[in-house]
Amino acid sequence: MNCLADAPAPKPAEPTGASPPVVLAADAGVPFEPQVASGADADPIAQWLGLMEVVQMLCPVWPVRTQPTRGNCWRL
Amino acid sequence: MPSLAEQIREALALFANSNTQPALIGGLAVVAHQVVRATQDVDFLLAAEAADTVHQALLNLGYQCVHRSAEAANYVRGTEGLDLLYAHRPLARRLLAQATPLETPMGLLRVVSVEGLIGFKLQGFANDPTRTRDLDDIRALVHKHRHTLNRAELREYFALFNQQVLLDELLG
Repeated sequence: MNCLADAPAPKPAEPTGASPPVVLAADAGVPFEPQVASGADADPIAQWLGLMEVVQMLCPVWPVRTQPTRGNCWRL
Repeated sequence: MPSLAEQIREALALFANSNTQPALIGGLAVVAHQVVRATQDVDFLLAAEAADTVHQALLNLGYQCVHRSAEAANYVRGTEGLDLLYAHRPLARRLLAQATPLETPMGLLRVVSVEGLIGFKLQGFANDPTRTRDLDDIRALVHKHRHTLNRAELREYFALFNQQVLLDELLG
């Protein structure tokens, strides 16, 4: 028997004008509005700057490339 | 993202003061050609005769040169990197001369053509097959521009590196 079947359904919380809006965990964090642009006229460099802003929030320091440019196949 | 944008802006000023006009190659050029991905690679194609002037100017800005050859140079400053490829053969010099100016938040950037960029990516992959990112970039660029690519020019670059089969696969 499912004992929850007989329990009364919880009432949704009534919003009150005085209390601040509830912030759910899923909505928390730093407000960030990603640039939404598409089509041929979208500026890819501006999109990249927006992307890197987010990337650097997640990973402030990227490892510097330590491998020098190497090889012996230079034809261009 | 101030530091990377600032670094590029500073590099552009350095090039202007050195009376040279390099062209963007590498990951940021991939972005400029509409394949937007995360990258901090600052790579330029530079006329070979400007190598010494730019080398000294970069040292003056606090960069350390970690590698320099007749073909390329790598500089670091803290967590910032800047790589140069020298144009001294006719193909690279042509690509440098034909680079297209692009107005960006960091200033006017000259960018090599998408065909030329694919060629340089192919050269990078030929020199270091562990750089699979180059292959991914080539695939993405070909896919993105497949209807407008100059296929004869592409064939020239792929033939240089004996990779015609790869091109057929990419276009197939």
